[in-house]
Amino acid sequence: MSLQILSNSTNVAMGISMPVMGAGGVAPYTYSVLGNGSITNSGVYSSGYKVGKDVIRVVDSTGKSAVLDVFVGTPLHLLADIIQRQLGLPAGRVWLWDQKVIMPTDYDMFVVIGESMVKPFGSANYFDAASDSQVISTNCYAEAQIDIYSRGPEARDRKEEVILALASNYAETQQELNNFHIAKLPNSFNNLSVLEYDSGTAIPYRFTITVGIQYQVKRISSTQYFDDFDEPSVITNP
Amino acid sequence: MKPLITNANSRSLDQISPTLPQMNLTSWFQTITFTVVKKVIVNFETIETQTKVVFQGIVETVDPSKLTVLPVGERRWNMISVWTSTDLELSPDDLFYYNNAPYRVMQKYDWQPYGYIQYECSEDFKK
Repeated sequence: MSLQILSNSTNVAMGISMPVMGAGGVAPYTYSVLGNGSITNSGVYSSGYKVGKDVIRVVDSTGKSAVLDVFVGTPLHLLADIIQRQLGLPAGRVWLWDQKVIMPTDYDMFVVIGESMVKPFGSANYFDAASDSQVISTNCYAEAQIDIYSRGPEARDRKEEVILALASNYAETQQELNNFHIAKLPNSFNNLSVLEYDSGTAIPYRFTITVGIQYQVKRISSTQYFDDFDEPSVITNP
Repeated sequence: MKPLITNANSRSLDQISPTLPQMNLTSWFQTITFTVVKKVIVNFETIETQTKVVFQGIVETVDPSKLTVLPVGERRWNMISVWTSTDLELSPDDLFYYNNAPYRVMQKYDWQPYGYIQYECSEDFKK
């Protein structure tokens, strides 16, 4: 077996910790991370507070190395990841709502995830003496709007699989690891196919569900506001 | 005196030679550089990558009389028409930069049997 990095997930939330492990090489392993996150000598990776990609690198005692891409995102990114994996959709068929996207021109299914509402409830602001930093956090309840489209009948036939994806073991694992919670599964699909058809666009199948999610947003900043004082020195007359 | 411009008016009705006008676009061609923006979805987000394309062609501003008959309904921003003999592989809604201004392809007319492709493009939102 060649050297590789084992991890519980490659799509994580901001500000979480996750152990990763080098395998298939000769111990001891040395870990490093390129991006906004950090990693300890024992291989505990912590994601940063910015959406993006971190590259975790492991080097074994013989100098061989392996890398693992970890994508850091919001709960919406995690929902997108759950749906893409569980439905087995190819890359690029699930995205967060963005006006820049050019709609696909084929007949296959694609899923667009947006936010219809975000409600912050409760916040905390405290000083963490251990790390000498200020911690600000707020809990949020959001309603994610999941639109399932296809020009062919795939969306009509596979839309229920999105519910199965959100209730899957992988979804449970991701919620546990990333401190978010799929709070409420929808009661019904809104069939907006007729709306799409009447508007003259060529996407006749569109189904929408709204999923409640709870998560916490946290920012940690250093409280080292002041420059260090100079060492006191004794002034003596010459 | 021989007229400077030879057009349909200067042809006699019994003329046997072909009467189609000579659409020799290539003599008007010049080197044009577009920076084409392609979009891919990475980590569920749209990422734009820019590729420089150098080709021979004509860029023509679309005049107001033609704007009135265009189907795209855009009147506020500049529109340009691009004529080229090479297929730039741009399709409607694709974005490119020309002279530091963003343009979006509105329509592609494929006249390849006659030796050229035409793109109607509208100026787009600046970042």
